[in-house]
Amino acid sequence: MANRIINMLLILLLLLVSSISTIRRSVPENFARAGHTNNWAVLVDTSRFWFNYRHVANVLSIYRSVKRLGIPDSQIILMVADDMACNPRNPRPATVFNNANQHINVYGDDVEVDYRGYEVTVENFVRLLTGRSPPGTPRSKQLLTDEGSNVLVYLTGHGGDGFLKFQDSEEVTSQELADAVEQMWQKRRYHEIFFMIDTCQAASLYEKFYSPNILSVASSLVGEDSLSHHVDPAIGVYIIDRYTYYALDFLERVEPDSTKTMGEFLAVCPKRVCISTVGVRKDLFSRDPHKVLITDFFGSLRPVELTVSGLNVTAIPRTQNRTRRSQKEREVPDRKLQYAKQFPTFIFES
Amino acid sequence: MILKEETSDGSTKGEDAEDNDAYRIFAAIAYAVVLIVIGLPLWWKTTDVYRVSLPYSRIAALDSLDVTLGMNISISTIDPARGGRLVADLKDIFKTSKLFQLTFLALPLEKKDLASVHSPEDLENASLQPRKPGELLLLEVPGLSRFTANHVLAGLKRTVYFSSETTAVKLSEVLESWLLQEKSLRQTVAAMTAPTETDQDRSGRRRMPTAAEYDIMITVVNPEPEKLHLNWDLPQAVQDYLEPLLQELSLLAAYAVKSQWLYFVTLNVQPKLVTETSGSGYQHYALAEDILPQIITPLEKKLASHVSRNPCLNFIVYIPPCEAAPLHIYRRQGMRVKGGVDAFLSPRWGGIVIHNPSSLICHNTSVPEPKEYSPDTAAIMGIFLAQLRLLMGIPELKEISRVGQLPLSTVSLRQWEFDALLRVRTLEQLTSAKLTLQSLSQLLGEISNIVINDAVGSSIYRAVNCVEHAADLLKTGQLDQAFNESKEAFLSAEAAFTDPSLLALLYFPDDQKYAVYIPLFLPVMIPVILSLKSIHAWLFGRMNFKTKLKED
Repeated sequence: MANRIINMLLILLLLLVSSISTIRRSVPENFARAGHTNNWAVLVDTSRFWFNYRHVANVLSIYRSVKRLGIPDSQIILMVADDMACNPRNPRPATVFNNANQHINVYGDDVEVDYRGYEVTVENFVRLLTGRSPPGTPRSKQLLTDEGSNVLVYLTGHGGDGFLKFQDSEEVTSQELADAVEQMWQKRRYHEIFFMIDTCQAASLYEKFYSPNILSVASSLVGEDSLSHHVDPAIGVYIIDRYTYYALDFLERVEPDSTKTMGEFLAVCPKRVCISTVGVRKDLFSRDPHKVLITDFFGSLRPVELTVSGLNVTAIPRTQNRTRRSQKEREVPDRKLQYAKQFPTFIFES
Repeated sequence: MILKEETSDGSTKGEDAEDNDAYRIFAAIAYAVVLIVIGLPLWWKTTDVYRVSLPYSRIAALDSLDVTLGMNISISTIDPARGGRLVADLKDIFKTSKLFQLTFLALPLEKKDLASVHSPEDLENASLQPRKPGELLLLEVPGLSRFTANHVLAGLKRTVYFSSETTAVKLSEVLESWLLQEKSLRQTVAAMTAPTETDQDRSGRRRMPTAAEYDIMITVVNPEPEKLHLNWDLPQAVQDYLEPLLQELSLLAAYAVKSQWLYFVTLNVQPKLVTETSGSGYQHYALAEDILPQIITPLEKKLASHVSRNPCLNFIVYIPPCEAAPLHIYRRQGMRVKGGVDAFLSPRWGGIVIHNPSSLICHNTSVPEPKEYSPDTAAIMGIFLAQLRLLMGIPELKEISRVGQLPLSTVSLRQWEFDALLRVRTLEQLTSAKLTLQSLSQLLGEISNIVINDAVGSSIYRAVNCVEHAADLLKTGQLDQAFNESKEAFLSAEAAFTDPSLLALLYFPDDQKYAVYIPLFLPVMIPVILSLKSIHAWLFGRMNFKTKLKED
């Protein structure tokens, strides 16, 4: 009898072990079930003046990560409120560093800033999100997302309880932000949004959201301040904020084919290094963050289907078309074209 | 205090005091009249916001708008009794359809109409083809087994041929999953209305979003142009192969075709070398299906237009250099795609074809570099056309046993495929216009001081009229006009929603309004209101005095 029980227990154990291994093998299927088709990023730095260098470094570092992981510039909206690289007070002109050892110049050669300087206003930000831009707005300043787009929104600057300060003169409230995102949802302009906010009392900005499919992370809770990380004595200002520093530490180890999850990213800055508590809001997000790939928001991997066959088109007879083409080739332009003179001296020669 | 003094004319100062009182009271009345009776309404009128009145009730009624597709399906059989039975059976099967209102008619058929038929193509040219978009004809062809082994054959126009042994169930299966696609239509509408509950099905996820104009960008990628020179007239190929199809689709949307050549651009992935000994016969390079998404990502940087806002379909031809050729795609299971096609597409984005240069040219060492190579235009364009059909919304059809289709001989769509595409786009545009109008009316109704200017108002009215009209046209089966109305509705609703004046920042919350006007009005109104009491007292005092005088 005891033997039988032991046998049964062993069989159960074996079944359990084999079922666990099958579960582990089937997790990649869940990863492949993402319903989005493209990725966009909206990266906003809202503060100006030289002593807010760290906010520009924050946003440029996230820009660099997102670009490295594959989102093209045509799908990134970068808003930088002040020019640090060419600031007269910058001892290293044309560079922006996010680390005192100055290894990476996050400004780079190919940065494309879409909204710069005084164009970063609350009105432009809300117009960008809701799509109500005036006619004549260039394509690079518009958020042309559709219902399959995953959007990463990163805001950094000075904030308070329920607001984010723009340019030291105006502010956007959390209610306005929630309403703008709801207008996006009504027009089905996103599939999922990932909100990252690195300001003081950042959690108050995501409290008022009421649209579905939003995952939010904030660098500090209401009542706490987000602190900056370290000073670069050569430049003379604080270079980067704590939360973004540790977030970048994580992202620098992510490659475009990585299988790291958003759950790991949400746990990235524990209180002992960040001093403020990282706040997360998951109730509006339908999937489990531990089963969501980080490249769903930070990278751009499009889903792919193999084509099985082409249409069987017979070759079109080219006789009449060929004469038309060769006639075009025989056309010679009737005047010689040349470059315009660099310095038109002929104006002064009379 | 009234001082009593002696005056020259003897009247007491009391009367003067009364007159002064009267003047004071008249002055107070004048102030009250100017401020309250004239000023307050004037201020209200001049500070109200210009709002065009909107048809809120009609927009709310759109929710319960009955969108059904009316369709006439004619059945022609040699034996009228069989035709009648088929009509009755099909009516019975389709009476539970929620989206379609099918009217089945039995048409008589003369045997002489089919006498001179030697091939299915002859049938196609017969005069009994329905011409109106949206109609269908089910034609019995006795002896269909001479032409094909299938029992049911879908034609190139709006006819389906079936043999004498076909049952009504088989016909209903063909109608349901190939021609009407009701399940796909209902899922499209449900995914738009409640996206958190329903997802789009496979063909819906692949289909480009509705737009008035699309861009098509054809890119040829040649990573080593100094070794391989491509002799290819791309504009001519586009005109020969792509233009006819785009011409047919021009009712749906406008297309702008652009092409570019990219040099010195590589795939950024490492294909595996498969040697001759492993059973496939020749040495080649293998790309696994799993790394295909990583090919698209670096290419995207070079493809986007910086000017146009239309959705863009990207078609890329990659021609590997001779050292890396031939390059083949392997499925996850480890086999190649049957038929030798190395191509893949990405939903809502476009497709990539890997076209290997011929081994004769590559292994011919006597030819100096750069080697000339003319790509096989028909093969490449054939794959692009197949991908374009899928991306524009023509789904691949489920296999049904003993049912086939007539193969396409020219670059065009089957007319029933085009009708199905019109139906899905019409429903998409109608649903999108409905949702936009409802969202807009909720927004404008809730925030009572957004300016609604004339342009926005007229767009909204036009959109509502077009939605209602399109629903009526759909019910009576006029598919092309319904599509045009729904397109007008969609574009008007979009124009109204994204009008930049809706963000005119004229709407401050109420407490800010009070904070501005109270310091202006309160100091002026306090004396007026307080003096109302004394006015009232004086008026009643005079009236009492007068009545007392009268009574006396």
